[in-house]
Amino acid sequence: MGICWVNYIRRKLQTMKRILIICLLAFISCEDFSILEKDQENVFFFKNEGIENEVFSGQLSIATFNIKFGYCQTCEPFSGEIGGDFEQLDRIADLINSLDLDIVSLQEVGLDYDVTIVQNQAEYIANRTNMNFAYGMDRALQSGNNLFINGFWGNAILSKYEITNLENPTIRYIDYYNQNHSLKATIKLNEETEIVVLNSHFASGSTNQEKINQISEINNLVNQVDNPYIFTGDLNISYIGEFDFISQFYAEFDNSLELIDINERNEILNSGTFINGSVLDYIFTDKTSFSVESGTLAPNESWEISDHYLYYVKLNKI
Amino acid sequence: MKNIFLILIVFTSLISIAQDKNNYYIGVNGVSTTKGVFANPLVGVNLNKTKLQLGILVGSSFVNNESTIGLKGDVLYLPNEHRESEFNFHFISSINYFKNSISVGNAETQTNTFQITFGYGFDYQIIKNLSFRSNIGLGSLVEIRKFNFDTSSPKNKWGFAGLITLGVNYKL
Repeated sequence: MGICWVNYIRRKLQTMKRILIICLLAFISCEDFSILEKDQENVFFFKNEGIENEVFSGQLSIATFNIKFGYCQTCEPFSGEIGGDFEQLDRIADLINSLDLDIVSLQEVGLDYDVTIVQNQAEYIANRTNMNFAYGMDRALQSGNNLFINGFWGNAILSKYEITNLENPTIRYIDYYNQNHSLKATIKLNEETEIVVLNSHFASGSTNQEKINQISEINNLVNQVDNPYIFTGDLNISYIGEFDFISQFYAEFDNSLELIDINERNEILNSGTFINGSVLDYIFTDKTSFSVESGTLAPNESWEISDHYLYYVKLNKI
Repeated sequence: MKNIFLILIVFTSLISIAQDKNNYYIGVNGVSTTKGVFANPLVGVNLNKTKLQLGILVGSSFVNNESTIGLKGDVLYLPNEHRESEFNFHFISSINYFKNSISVGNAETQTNTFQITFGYGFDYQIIKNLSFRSNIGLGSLVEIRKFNFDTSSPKNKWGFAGLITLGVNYKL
């Protein structure tokens, strides 16, 4: 009788084990399925594998550039077509190398995006430029037309100096696939000096109130910062047509565009930083820590790399 | 908070009613959905070839990783009627609902999530009156959103929904 019970329980346990294994396999396979994406996940990371012992001379050259996922100027990253290849990212890296930049903020940088050839674009460009890098997601990608093409759209900061801390706070939230962050990296220039660099890409098509909210979040972020700070980004706010919004930064920031030589400034205003002629890309500094020596766009021959043009300034640390 | 108390009162009442009838059962499931992971205590009734069950969802939403409470209702159809000594497969249709909100500065987005899935699963009787149940489902969800700021983003958003449940039921 006792043996019967033992066999009965053993059979039951074996069956249960099979059921649990099947359920576990089902769960694991579904975990990788996009419909179980964890919406709250905020992906950001940094690596210091670039130049060692870069000596800070007191001058910084810093740039902002929307690279459009490494797609060509007329290509469409969200159509499902393949892009973001080595050749295009090499052009970006070569441009950065040719300008000898210390810090570069990049927007529309892909990570694990199913249709780009290079999966970690920030790391690839950092390796090709021998710089340290930080990456933070702006939003997860999953459009209605391409439900199973997934990845991250984000911002990156490349630096010749050591990155010591990184945050990626949200500045706008509709849902996981429609949100914006500000990548906030602390960079150590030397033993005595650390600066904070923020890099944002404001949502295209933002309403006036959303623009004000995003600007307010950036101002709040720098209010909490004790170190000197620089804010860079593609704000999708036109300098000429929407100056009222840009001026809302002026309580906390100086706009480098207004501190550079008048000829340099006019050149930028004439060409714009975006292919439609608008100035959308900015570099702001805090009001007391930097003086702006010069500012310009990358040479004309680089303007076909993306639909934005690289804008860079030379700053002196006061 | 008022809604949470209301849900708890309704649920407690259902359990009390269920205890008086021997064709009722109670159970607890672990539920993984597209938008969250929840514990799901429930009360169910056995009808002829169908079972109806209603429960609450208590867990964590994927939207903001904060605890939330919601409701889940299921209709199960058993082609093989009630077999109590072996596997009994069933078709299941589930609807669940929960709500959460995310604030960035003064901007708040409230999201009400409704999810409907259709799926397949099985019951396996462990001992008398106690059975193990698991099922999976696929379907769609709609997020109905409210913003306290002006935005051009759509107020409703449709999407794919997935559901996996594991749990035990006890027949009263």
